[in-house]
Amino acid sequence: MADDYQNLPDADLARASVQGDETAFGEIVRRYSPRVFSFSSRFFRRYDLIEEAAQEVFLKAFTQLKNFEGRGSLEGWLTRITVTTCINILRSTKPQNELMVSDLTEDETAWLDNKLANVSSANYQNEEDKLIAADLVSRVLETLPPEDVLILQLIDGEGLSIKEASATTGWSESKVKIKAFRARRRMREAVQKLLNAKDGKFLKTEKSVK
Amino acid sequence: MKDRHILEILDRAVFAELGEDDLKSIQIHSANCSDCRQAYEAARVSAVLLDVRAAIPAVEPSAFFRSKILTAIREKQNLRKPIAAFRRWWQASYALVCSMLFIVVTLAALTILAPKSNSEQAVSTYNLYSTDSVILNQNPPRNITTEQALEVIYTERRDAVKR
Repeated sequence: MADDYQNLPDADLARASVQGDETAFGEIVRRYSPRVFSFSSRFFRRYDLIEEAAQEVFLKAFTQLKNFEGRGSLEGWLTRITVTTCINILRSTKPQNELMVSDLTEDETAWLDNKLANVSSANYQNEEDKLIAADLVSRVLETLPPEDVLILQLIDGEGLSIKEASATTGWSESKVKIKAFRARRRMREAVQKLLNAKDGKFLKTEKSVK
Repeated sequence: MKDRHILEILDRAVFAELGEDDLKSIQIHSANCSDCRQAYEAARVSAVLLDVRAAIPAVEPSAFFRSKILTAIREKQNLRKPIAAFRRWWQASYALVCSMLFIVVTLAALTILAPKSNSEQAVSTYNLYSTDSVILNQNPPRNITTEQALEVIYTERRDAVKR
């Protein structure tokens, strides 16, 4: 029975789900939950928060499925719900204060010291280094507005074009450009504050610009 | 060149996609401007951090995620539509409920309609006939068996002893 559903196109599954067919909706969840989880993990670090967000996305999708008219792809529609849901969750939580050097762990401070001298993503072969950097970037991103987090990761992190980011978020291309510009500035300023707070250590790296 | 222009170049595009002309402008200006040099360094570190973040493997849903969602949907629907929820419950369990009802009704009918036991019959007989009438065959009871007659005699004796 479930195997029959696996071969059905998205539009048929959506139609059956609207009629109350739970197995059809279960197939939609099976098909797109990896995508929703992957997207939610751009906003949250903890697994329980990622799962909570994904659950909310699918509950919303089930109640709003009658509004999905099949003009776009079901995947795109679910992605836009994921974007809205994650941003709303982040907005409803208390905004993080500015990240200070004193908030950083020893590993993160050492990472900044070390990488400032030779900053290049090609140097990331060490798994431990990656984990420290991943934790550091998550903490920096937590201090930014949710929209900034999303756009930075889509365009700067994953290399999506403005057009692709526009399709993913449902924002206009000009809005994406403006958001990306402002997000880069905020991210740069947040990192710069951390680096400036390290004073002399930061000045050591001046030679790397030349 | 003004600082604002350098910062705008840094924020306008993805760091890795800055053109040679842009990088040259930044380097020339940064040589004499520590603020812009720091901004450039921060932009480089930001770009590396975002690369690292993008390389983190995606989180996979657990094996139970689908059933969790379907359960949550059912619970939500039950809260919103109690009648529909009752209907769904009835569809799922009507066979069990009907069979239980059938068993209860059958047992009740059997209890009411089943023939009385010997002792019950004896008691009612005892109420109609005394031991003397049975023993002396005076006004003999019709359709009374030997066992019933003995039960009548025994019951009366037992009651006499108690008194």
